Amino acid sequence: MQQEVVLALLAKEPSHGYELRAQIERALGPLGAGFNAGQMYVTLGRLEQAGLVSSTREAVASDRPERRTYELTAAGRERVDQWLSDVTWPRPDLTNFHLKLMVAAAQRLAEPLDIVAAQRRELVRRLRDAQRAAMAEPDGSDAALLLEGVVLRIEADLTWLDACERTWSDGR
Amino acid sequence: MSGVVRVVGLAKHYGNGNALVRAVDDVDLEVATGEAVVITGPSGCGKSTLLHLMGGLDRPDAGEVWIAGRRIDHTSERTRARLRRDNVGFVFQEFHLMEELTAVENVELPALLAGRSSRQARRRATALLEQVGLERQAGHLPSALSGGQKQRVAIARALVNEPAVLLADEPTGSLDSAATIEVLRLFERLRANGQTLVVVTHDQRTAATADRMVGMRDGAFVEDVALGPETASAAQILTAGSRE
Amino acid sequence: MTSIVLLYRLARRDLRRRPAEALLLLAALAVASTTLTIGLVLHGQTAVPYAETRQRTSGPDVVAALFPPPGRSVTGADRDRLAALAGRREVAARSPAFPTTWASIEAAGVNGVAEVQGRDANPSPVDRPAVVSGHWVDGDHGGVVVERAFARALGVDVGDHVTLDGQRLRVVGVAVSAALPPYPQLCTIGCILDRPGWPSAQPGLVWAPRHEVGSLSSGREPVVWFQYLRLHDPSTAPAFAARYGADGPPTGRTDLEPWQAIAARQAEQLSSERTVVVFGSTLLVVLALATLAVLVGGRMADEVSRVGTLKAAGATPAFVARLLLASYLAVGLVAAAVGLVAGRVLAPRLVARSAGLLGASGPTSVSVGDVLIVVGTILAVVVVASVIPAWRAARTSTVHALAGAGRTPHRSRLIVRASAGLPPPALFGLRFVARRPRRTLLTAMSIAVAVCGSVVALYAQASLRAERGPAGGPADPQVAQLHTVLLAVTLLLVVMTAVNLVFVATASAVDARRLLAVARTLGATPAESAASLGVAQVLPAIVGLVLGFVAGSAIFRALAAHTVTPPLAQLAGLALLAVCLVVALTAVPARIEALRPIAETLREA
Ligand SMILES: Nc1ncnc2c1ncn2[C@@H]1O[C@H](COP(=O)(O)OP(=O)(O)OP(=O)(O)O)[C@@H](O)[C@H]1O
Ligand SMILES: [Mg+2]
Repeated sequence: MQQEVVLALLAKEPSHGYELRAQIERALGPLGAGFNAGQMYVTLGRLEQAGLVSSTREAVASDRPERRTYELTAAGRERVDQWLSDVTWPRPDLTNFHLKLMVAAAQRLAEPLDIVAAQRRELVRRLRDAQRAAMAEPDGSDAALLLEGVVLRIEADLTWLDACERTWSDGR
Repeated sequence: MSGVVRVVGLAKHYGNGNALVRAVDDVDLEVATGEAVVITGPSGCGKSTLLHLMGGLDRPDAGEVWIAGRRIDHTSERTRARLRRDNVGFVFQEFHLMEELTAVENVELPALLAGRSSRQARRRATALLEQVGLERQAGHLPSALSGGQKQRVAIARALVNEPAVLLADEPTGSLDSAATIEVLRLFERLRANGQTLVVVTHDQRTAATADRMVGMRDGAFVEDVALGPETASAAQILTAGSRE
Repeated sequence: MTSIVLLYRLARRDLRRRPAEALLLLAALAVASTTLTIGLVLHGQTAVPYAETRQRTSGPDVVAALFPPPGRSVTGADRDRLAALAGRREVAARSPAFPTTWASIEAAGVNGVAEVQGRDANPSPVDRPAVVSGHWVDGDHGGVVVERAFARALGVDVGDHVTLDGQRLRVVGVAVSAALPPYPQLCTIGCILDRPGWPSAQPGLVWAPRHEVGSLSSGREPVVWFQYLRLHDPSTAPAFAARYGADGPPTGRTDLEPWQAIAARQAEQLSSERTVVVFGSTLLVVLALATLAVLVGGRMADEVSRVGTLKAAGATPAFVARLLLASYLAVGLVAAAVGLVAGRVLAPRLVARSAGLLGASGPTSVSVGDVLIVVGTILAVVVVASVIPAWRAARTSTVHALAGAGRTPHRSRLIVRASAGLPPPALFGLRFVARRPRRTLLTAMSIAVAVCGSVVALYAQASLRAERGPAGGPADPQVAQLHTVLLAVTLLLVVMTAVNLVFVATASAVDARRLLAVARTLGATPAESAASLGVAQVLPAIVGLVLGFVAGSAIFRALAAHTVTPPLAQLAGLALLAVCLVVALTAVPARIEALRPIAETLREA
């Protein structure tokens, strides 16, 4: 679980850990089946250590487990903004991008369509670079085959971005 | 210095009242010499209409179209035809080759129209076919060519009069991926040689031939971005592709 | 049963979808069947009136004409020989011998030549001319009776006066006879026209009291004696005439003419009209065929995809062929009906009110045979012109048809090479010509047929004019009639060719639409596009023109005994007119096509 997703979920208002968990599970649907609930608290703990979130304990009846409300720090907020505008695509982590769109929309942090467009620009640029490189290769070169693989992968990602755009522009 | 192609406040509407379609709605675009521009957008957003207007195949309802420094939107059909002949090469999705003419006869046709001698035209056509890698198919009828070969013939035909700009409407729209690569290779070579290109497409790979990408929705531009200089070497791409 | 209902529904919708085409087709076929009907009506008309006239006037089986030897008049011995002939066993009855001579005639400013036959007041046993107005010659009261066709040509009637060699005589009657051919064919049987200016004249028959002939000839004109004979067996008349006729000089000559020969002369006038109409209707049928072929062929291209849909929906090729035929057959049947009625109405107007015969101007009838021939011909035309393309369209593979691909154009390497160096209109024009050879051929043939017909008409007019003789003579009813018929047929030909040309031009323009749009994206101007369509039509038109001229004059030479070449100006005018017509009829669809927005055409393609 990416830390940034959790951070972004806290961008608009402070929240309990279990609410954050429920939100992520809703967004992932069946893909969220294997989601480890404990991981959420581990992540929150690390974020707190890094000074990106702060937490306050709520006063509750003594027979119930304690509840913590998490809140973004200024550094955390900055990190969220950075993440939203980040277009690196090291390995197409579809879940992450998908959650980015969901969170951005739910928290009204950014227009998902803009995120898609920015991502597409970046991917097209990469596609162009890969394609030019592929075409510069002589016929039958081994590298051309590998480059073709890269091109096809980016192409698939772009196709998915199109799908994202269609869905998000249908007034979600 | 204005670009090879420039459109200002361009508009083209179809129908009226409730059925009014703003196929092109107040569009500005300037394509510089040697630039490769791709226009993308969903089906029906007005890409073909815009391209037709830029090539003077249709008259706009408003706005200006300039080609090679001349305004063409209000000139006579005849003047526009001459301008097209000398400055614009068209490539279409459906190739539009003349079925009864061989590849080389198709390619030489615009040169003949431009008044070159039949020998000059033939020489030029043969050279271009060689350039698109079809010298062996020069004598074939289109029916004997594959889709990619047909489109390469069509591109050669569009280039025979050395146009200032090549306008292509879904040039790979009827092609499978192997044939698409044939055509893209050719576009890439043209671009590298400084040919000004305007390509309408919704194919990702075709779009990736561009230096600049224009996105269109409902007749208007929603983005117009330069893809910037090439940033990555082949090695970087490979690592980018395989990085965890 | 259901398939017939379906067929009917589909065919009806088909016609409704293209009312203009259906109407043009109807017009073309109706014109052809009208002329065909007129031709047939004329054909049936020949024999009847002569037979009727012969019967009602006690017409002779053999006409004997005793000519004087050169330089002297007929002697008693000559007349004895004529009398001996008339007394032969084969002869059943005979008229008296009638003295006959020739005189100049003038009536109300019209000058001509009359053959004047001396007759008695009491009726002859053979040849009793039927008096249609006034009364028969009467020695006591004087006055002459004029043959009806001649009277019409002179413009005289009972009560008028004519001047015969300076002698003013009253016209007391107008009559019709079967003994001699009516004006202007009269002189095909023995005339002696030896005054200056006469040989080119067409004499007409005038009956006068016997004594007038003597005073007219006054020794100057040779008197010929006519005697009319009836045989026991009329069918032996030709044999009788061959056996006893033409003794020859120096004893004077007896010409014998059997009635069959006279009947043939009578028929001649009608027959030349019939020739014109039959020839004309043949050409019109050919044109109708061409029109139909263009229509059907032109439609096939866009029909093919419909056929594909039908076939994809499970229709058999035979059903598709039947459907395509059905719509044309319906139009063909209506056209045949229209043609039959129109022909029936027009025929009597076009055909001679043959004044020289009785009963000729009575109602003309259309026989069952005529109906069968007209309907059969039109249906044959429809079937021939549509069954081949229908069959081809139906056989087209369903996939190909669904793809909407029309016929792939023809390629002519030679023309492509040869046209490469030419300016754009010629370059594209020639390639259009080569690309649809069948259509090109059709254009050439339509023009050839029309020009051929017009050339024949011009030749015929020139010959008629040459035959007419000196100006100021009596009007030749046959010539006037033929002029009318020729004009009518020529006009019909021109109209149909024009219709045809519009069809072909439109079909070619539509066919070339996409190609021209592409050519325009490559830089061809609208003017060049239009001009190339023009060239594509005018080239075959010129070929057709030449063919038409050659065929027309050849046909006329073959048909007519003697040929008079029409003035060069007329032929040149015809050629010019034809070219102008082709250019004008092509220019309109070509211009419309050339100005179509390119973007729209490309979007459709
Ligand atoms: N002749 C016409 N009459 C009416 N509407 C038209 C006409 N031509 C185009 N349009 C409309 O204009 C709009 C733009 O059409 P255009 O062909 O330019 O779209 P496009 O972006 O090229 O689409 P595609 O990607 O499917 O080719 C469409 O909504 C189309 O329906
Ligand atoms: Mg389009």
